[in-house]
Amino acid sequence: MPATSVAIIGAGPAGLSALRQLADSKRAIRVEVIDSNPRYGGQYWRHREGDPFPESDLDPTSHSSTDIRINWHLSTSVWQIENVAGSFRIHTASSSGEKSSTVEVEKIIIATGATERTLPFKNWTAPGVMSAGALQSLAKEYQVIPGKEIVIAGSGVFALPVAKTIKEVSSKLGADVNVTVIEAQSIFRWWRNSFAFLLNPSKILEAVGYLFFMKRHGVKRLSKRIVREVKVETGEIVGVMAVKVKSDLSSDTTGEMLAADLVATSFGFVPDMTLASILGLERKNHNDDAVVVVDSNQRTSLKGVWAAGEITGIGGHELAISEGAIAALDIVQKSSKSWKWRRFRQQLFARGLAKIYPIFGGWIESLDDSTILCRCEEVSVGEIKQSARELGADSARTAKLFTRAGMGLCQGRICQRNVKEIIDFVRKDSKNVSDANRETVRPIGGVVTLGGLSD
Amino acid sequence: MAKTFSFDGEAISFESGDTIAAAILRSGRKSLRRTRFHGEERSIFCGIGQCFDCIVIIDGRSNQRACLLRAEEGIQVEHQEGSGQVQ
Repeated sequence: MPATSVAIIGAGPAGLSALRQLADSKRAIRVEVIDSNPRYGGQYWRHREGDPFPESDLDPTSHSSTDIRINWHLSTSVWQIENVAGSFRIHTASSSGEKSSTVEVEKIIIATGATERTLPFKNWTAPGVMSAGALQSLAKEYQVIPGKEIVIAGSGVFALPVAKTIKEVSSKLGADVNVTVIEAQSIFRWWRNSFAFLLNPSKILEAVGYLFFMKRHGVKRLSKRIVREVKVETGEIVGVMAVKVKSDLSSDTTGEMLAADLVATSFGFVPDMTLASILGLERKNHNDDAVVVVDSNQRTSLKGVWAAGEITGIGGHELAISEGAIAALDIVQKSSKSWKWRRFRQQLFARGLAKIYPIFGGWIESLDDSTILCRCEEVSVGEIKQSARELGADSARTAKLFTRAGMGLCQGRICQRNVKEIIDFVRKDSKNVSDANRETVRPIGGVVTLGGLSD
Repeated sequence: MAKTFSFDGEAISFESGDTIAAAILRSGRKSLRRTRFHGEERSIFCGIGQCFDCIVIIDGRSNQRACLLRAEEGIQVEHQEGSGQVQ
């Protein structure tokens, strides 16, 4: 009979790090690992089927412990969690939503990670425009590069590893692919946060490594520009219109056309708070994101629930690993002192990055009103603005009721943040924390069919 | 013989571990569906099952995410028109 049972929701860096510590503890624990992907590793450790796991230390198949029992639930999403008399009943569904089942545990480590933030531009709905994460996964996991003239546009450090993957995979495939990286901010902003770097010297080497790689492989880099429009002719992407922007992302120029047949875009990451909301965990505003409040041991406001990784604040995979380890060590009542020091300097670095790549509302000003904002329900920027100006919409939630933005299949996962910022921009409100907190509540956290429920 | 599934009646070959979207994009095809209101072509966008832009009809079931579901020998995949319901 196991001493305790733990569900790890999300098998990315935080979840796998927690699993490792639980396995190393030599305690008799039943662990239920749940992830919506067909393979563990999260978004960060996506890899080709059959290839060795990228982080051998945290590869679950390398655990020697026979004390813990791991039940894997891959291609499985959690759509509801009940808290019944001190234990948790987790309801899951298969990827198609057609099979539902339930696991019961005493404790939960919630590590649901983040989704990519994208900003709309004209024709961003055309096939061939995708998030940088989607391109990264196509190239890295499936060796598919669906373009020859690739533009990676947005803000933040993620464009660098994506550009590198494209160059590496295309040369392996023998394909001639040009890559241009368009960054909204100036590279000189890095000097503003030298202290965060001094505590994380490996990050300096990493950055320099990327810059050398870009230079050697002829990756073009443009900064202080964003993509305003993708040019499409007879269904094919033929180029992008890049405009010069100020640090608040506003622009007063017409821009220049660059050749492109594939556009990847990324403006950082947003914590995936869907399940945290369902559990009713206490939240706070952190670098403009709603995040889960945790104590020094990653405990949340709800007894029996720990949170780790991006949902406690965007910070990258190394911080997620530290947080996952600390949560697991707290569950098995072991010391996590060395991890806490690591976590401290990694958090400092994350705060530094957030300051280097802020997303100010300037992008809204010059956006064409006909640009689609809610991709599912095909609601335009103009309709959102109108709902605020004429109908009194004062939040993403009320804008949804007027316009259907956020009411489609994705349930606002892609557009909600942008809808909120446009509403705030029109109303000239300051950012409203309680508002941002309320808006991500989705009573059902994933896709499940009625047929799946009745089984 | 490479493994294949059909996409609108045409054979798409795939490698083991491929998602449906990866195999279709590798074949050079771009569009996976057309939207309900404006009839716009759409394809993979987020790549991680969040955005539902890559939805296709698989063996008669509509709204299936091509970026999450794995390719399987002999399945019938169709480009989804609108909500995917038979008119």
